[in-house]
Amino acid sequence: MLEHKGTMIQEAEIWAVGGGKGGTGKTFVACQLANCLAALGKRVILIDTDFGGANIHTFFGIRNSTKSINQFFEKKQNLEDLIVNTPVKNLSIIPGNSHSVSTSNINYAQKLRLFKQIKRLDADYILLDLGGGTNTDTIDSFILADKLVTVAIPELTAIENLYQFVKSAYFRKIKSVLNSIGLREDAKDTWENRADHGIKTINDLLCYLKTMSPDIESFLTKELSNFTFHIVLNKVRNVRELQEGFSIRSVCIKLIGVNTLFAGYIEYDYQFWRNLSLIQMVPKFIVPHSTKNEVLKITHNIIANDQMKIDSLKYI
Amino acid sequence: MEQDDLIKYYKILELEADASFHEIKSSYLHLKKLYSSESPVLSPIIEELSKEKKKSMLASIEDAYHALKEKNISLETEKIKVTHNQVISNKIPEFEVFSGNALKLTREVLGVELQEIALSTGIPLKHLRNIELERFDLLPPAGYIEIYVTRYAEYLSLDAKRVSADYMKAFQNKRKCITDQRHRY
Repeated sequence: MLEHKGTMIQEAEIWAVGGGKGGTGKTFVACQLANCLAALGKRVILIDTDFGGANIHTFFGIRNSTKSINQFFEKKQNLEDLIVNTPVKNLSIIPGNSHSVSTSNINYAQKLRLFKQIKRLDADYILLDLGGGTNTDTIDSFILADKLVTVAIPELTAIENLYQFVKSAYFRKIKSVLNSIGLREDAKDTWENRADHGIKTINDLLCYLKTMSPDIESFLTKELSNFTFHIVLNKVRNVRELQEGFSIRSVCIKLIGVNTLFAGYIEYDYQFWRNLSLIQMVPKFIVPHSTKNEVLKITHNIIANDQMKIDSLKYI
Repeated sequence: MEQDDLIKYYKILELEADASFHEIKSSYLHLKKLYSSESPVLSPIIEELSKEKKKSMLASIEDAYHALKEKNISLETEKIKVTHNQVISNKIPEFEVFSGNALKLTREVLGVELQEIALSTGIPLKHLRNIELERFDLLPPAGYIEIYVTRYAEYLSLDAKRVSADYMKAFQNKRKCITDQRHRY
């Protein structure tokens, strides 16, 4: 919190949009959420943290931008100097680099510096569009955020990767929580020798760690109580596929043991990608289309930590 | 029932403590189906879900539902009795002939949602809607309609015999018209 002209400035809330599989529409969902938040009158900055495959600028019809997040790492420029305005009111972006051929590996110190500067940006909401996969870069950026949004589609491979993603993020979070009380090695050791302790799942690991001492138990319970995943199910074609959203949520809660909310779904839009070129992208994106209403509901649900009600299924 | 138990049961059914009975039922049916099937959503994580675990999970889901069902039924019936007694005496208009519209008006005066009636009577929602709109072409055979209308009227504390007699008369007239038209072509 900063003191500014006698009024308190609220720190921006950071939302990270991730999910294991590529092609589930993470970038699409991130852009749509940013759009909705901006439409609600919030000042939004959308940052392309998909270092290997950036394309947010394309969604907003920005070409050949001289600014990109790579300059933050390579030339040590300040993050706020890299902000680019978009045609949408209240919404600006920090593009990723689509020209660089060397994909950057970023170390932990750089990541911390990035997050320090992200928190200082002047906005109400800051959205991070993460890349696919479960490498440490992605997972670390993900768990540092305030709200964790995971995008999935009702397909077996995507669901499989989603579980992997949720598990690795949860494990990483447990490690970082233990790290703050100097027990990082215990989590790692226990997991590596899990067969000796009869541990199969992350939930088992957590139970095992909690038996170590009552202090650790209450600490872990407290720190992990706010660790919640918000699931967005994209490309839904029928009610049966929509039900899978509730099923995925149930598996995350019951089998992985992590708080999960099913924020909502987006219907498969057959028209959207048809004949879509760069020039058509901008007007199409800004003009509300069929998915807008659904995304608005998702946005409200994520803001309020709410979710879809299961009894809404019958009356769709 | 202990408060702690209740919280536990809602948690098993993955609901908030203010969930309606409809939500409880939907969630129960969904979870039961999910964990007793070979759902593709479960297949990536199947090695973490042994047969015994599945069984115990299903058992706890079953327990939670039945406990919450009992609690909710006693609550619901009390609520309905109270609202009925309050309104019935002064507000319900008198009808010469009971039509679908009359049923609808009575229901609205009582402030009852169609979905609520569908849940307590077991009549599919779309049939209730079509009974009110008198969409005879979309309704099932006469025998069914008679039962549905009777149950619906009973729910609204109306004279069920009179209502179903009136309604079936209108239904037979309309259906006769439809069949006559069909014969003509």
